[in-house]
Amino acid sequence: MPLLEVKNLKVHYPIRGGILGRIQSYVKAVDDVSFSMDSGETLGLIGESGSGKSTTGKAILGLTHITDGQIFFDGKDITNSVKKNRSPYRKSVQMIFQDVYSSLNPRKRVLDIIAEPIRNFGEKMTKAEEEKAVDELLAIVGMSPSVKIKYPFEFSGGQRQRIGLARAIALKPKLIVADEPVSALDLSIQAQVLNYLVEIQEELNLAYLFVSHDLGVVKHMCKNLAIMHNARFVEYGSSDEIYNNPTHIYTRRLITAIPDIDPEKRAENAKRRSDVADEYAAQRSNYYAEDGKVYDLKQLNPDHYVAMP
Amino acid sequence: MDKLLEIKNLTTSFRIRGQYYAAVDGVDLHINKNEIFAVVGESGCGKSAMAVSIVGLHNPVFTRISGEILLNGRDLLTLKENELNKVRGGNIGMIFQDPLSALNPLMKIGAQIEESLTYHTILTKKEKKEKALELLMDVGIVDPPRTYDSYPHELSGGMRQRVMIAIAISAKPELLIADEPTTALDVTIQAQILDLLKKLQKESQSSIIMITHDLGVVAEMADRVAVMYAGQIVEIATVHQLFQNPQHPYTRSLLSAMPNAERKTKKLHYIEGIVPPLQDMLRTGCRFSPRIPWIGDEHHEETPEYHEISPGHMVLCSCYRDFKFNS
Repeated sequence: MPLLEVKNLKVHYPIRGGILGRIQSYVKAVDDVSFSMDSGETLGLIGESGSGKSTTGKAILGLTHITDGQIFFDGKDITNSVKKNRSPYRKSVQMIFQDVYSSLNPRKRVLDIIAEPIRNFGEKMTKAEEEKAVDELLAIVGMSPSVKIKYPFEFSGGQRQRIGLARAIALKPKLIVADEPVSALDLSIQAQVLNYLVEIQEELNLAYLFVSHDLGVVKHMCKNLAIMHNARFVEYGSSDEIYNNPTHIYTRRLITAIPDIDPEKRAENAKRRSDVADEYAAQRSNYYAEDGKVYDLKQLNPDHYVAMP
Repeated sequence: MDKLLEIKNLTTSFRIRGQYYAAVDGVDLHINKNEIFAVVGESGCGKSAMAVSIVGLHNPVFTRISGEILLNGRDLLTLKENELNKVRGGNIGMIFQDPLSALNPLMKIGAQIEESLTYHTILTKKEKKEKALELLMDVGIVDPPRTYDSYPHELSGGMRQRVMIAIAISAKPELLIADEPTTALDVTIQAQILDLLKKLQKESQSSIIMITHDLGVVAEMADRVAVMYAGQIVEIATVHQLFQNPQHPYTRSLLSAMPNAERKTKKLHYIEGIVPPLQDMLRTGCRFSPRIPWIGDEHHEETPEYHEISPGHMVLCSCYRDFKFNS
């Protein structure tokens, strides 16, 4: 039984207009998306800005309303209880944010930031027990207990992201939605945070929904991935399959666009990129319906689905 | 090869609580004609501070600059403001990271391109419009007349960056400074903008200083590269030398911190600690030494010097010889 199963998820936002403010049409942010995740698995969700990847993550957390579709967690249909404040589901799913400067309350000490989920959802603890729990969480992300009494502004970006991570794992969740967790960090710090993410995953058997636009990072982190374009999946399957055998023209365009760190292959890459660009221009109609909509997914093999007519 | 720009012992200091701290600390480098020169490093390493010093865009109240910046033999640091205004946009064009905040939100695109032409050319109104449309065409905008009459907010991020490039090249500068030109863009758009910059550079035989933190962009674009750390250039080489034979511990650490499919293990290398803030920067000895504490003091030089690995490939401090990653 998969840990999380999303069926035909739709998130549409109304566009209002006219003097009466009637709904004129809808922005389809997520349009008919289905996937499933096992516990301990990392699913990468890749796409350009505006493709709907963050909205998908938010819908799973109940941070935005769901227009249609169902979400199953541990086999139970939780579509309607996602937004309920005291639902036990809220304990099992947590989030890490991209912007480490706005996701920690500047007026709270690290102790209060990390203990907040425990105070809201966890078991009753005395002050001493709570501090001990926070110390343990800090140790997991490689920080010393003395940082408890400090405020967020005293930390660097990487340290803040680790505090965010400690807060996210405070309730021993089963799933973490990580929305671009390292894209604001420098290369060397990014590596450190990614290492912690992997380590914690193994220790707690966590599942990550890893939302990112950086294909290098996703390739490093994820066993399975889904590529989103225009609110729908264009390709979905195991990372190896998709990287070695990208089938949809959009996926190929995305993969060829990544700069290679080998300067010797420069000409080769440029050639490949322009070939794919030509193909994209010439064969666009084979991959997209007339109104620009991405087709439904078709199975290529057990590990690989592609949106084809 | 002819040198276009020569920087000699450039030091740029910013005032913090009454004290001056050098963000760029004694940088020497030159940029040849017709080449793409990349400056790479993490945030806080002084790469943008250096770019800003070249065109004199710093706030003079808080900034002190010493050294020489010679463009075709003329020292830009001694120029008066009105002379410098001719250089800015005329001899040197600049592209910024965030095109939305670099463009004027209240002016139409056409007017913004023509503004630059007004300062640097003597064209009539009609000629300016023709030239602006031509420039928009050159930077790959599909419908120039329409974009000419648009406001910045009506354009996508990639289009805005193209407009920025059109403005920057309007007066045919010999040198283009691009400060993280693609960091805010999606990868597919990034590839297009990089191709465009490369094409324009080839056509005009000009030079580009490309400031970036992305080693992939460096490998795709640059002819020569300088790696900066804590205000100094720690390694300078051609792009082939740097990627085939990286020497300085900082360069090697950055390269091994990149997620890479060929690596077997799940563990990435990371650099201990952080880039120090300006006030706490080590000013003597090897500035990278606090971040590789397992390399003993005897491997560093007291006053680090440049060592030549091969012609054109220089490394600062002797610690590169015995550097190993600690596992």
